[in-house]
Amino acid sequence: MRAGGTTVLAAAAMLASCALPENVVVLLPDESGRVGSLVVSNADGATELTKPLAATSLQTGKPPGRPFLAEQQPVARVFAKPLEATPRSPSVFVLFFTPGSAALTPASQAALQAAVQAVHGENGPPDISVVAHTDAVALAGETAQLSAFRAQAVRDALVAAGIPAAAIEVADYGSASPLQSEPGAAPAQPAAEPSAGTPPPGPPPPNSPGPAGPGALGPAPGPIAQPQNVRVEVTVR
Amino acid sequence: MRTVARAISAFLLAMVGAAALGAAVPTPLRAEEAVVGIVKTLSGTATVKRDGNMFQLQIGTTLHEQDLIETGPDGQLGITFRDNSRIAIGPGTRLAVSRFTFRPDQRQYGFIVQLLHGTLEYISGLTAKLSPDSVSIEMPTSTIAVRGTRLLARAE
Repeated sequence: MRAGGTTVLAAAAMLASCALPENVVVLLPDESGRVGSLVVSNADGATELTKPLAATSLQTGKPPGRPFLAEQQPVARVFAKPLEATPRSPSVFVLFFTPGSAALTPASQAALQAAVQAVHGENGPPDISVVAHTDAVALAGETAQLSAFRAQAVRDALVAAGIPAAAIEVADYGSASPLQSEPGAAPAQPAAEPSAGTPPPGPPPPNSPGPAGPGALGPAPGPIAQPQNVRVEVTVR
Repeated sequence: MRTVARAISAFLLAMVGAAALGAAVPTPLRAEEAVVGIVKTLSGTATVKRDGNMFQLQIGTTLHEQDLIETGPDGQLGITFRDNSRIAIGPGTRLAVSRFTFRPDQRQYGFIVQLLHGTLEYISGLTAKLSPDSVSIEMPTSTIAVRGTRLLARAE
């Protein structure tokens, strides 16, 4: 009886250790439930994974194995530690300005405060990016200098709120990362909630300090300006 | 909080006023290209080898290109990169940050890490969205090209 029990236990242990290959890649849904895809390749071949828990076994000198569905339990066990160590999703606060100026809209003043709160709530030193974005189509009263100036003003406001300057990276991405015109380009949707305020649409108000008044640019053919793309994003990592 | 709000808006308004008068010149933007990410979670022992030196990692340690990160038998840690991608590793793991470039203003991207041994979780960030071909995770036996968004890998 005793010997039989040991055999069963040994077999069970073996099964458990065999449940996932030694060298393996597993595709998982992300935190919002979306599943991407990946291609695992070497000199001998390639395997594409497209389904949740799709996995491929890897061996030297052989192409990556055909996709198989990994079981949840061994995956959870083998990867328990890295899954425990996952950092939280970065928080992104999107700030909009009165057209032609570096004055935040009221909703964005609240978003800036939320960003400050988020930094102060961090456990350990934060890493913060303040990034200016513009639209690919020039908007009346908007200039590259103004864009950089806004980012700098937001950075200075964060420093004034007690956040160490050394923790803040400032950059200007121009129109490389549009908010609206590229689906999925808006970073970290769930984290962006605190700044859910929509930008003020339409032309600048009459007292705008910008050099060009409303209507200075007639409706031109080609791409349409997206005022929503003109923004500063504060990312708290 | 209200005071902070007022201070911030007053500050921004003051800056705008100064700008309108042409009295203030914004200081140059800092690049800080060397920093690629930050250690966000950590337990047990973890070290980094950088420029021939080895030192202990802590929560908040910034990471650089070419860093070789190693966890002890009890170690685990999580990194958040400047492009918002995240990597977490388990015990007994060696991970090299081979290449990291995230310069959307110049359309320059690169995200290559090597899992030399151990366990890893990767969650994609902006590089995988803006330039998917720039992201790869190299393992001793294969290379993973990532189209998003989250994966696990083990190399023994």
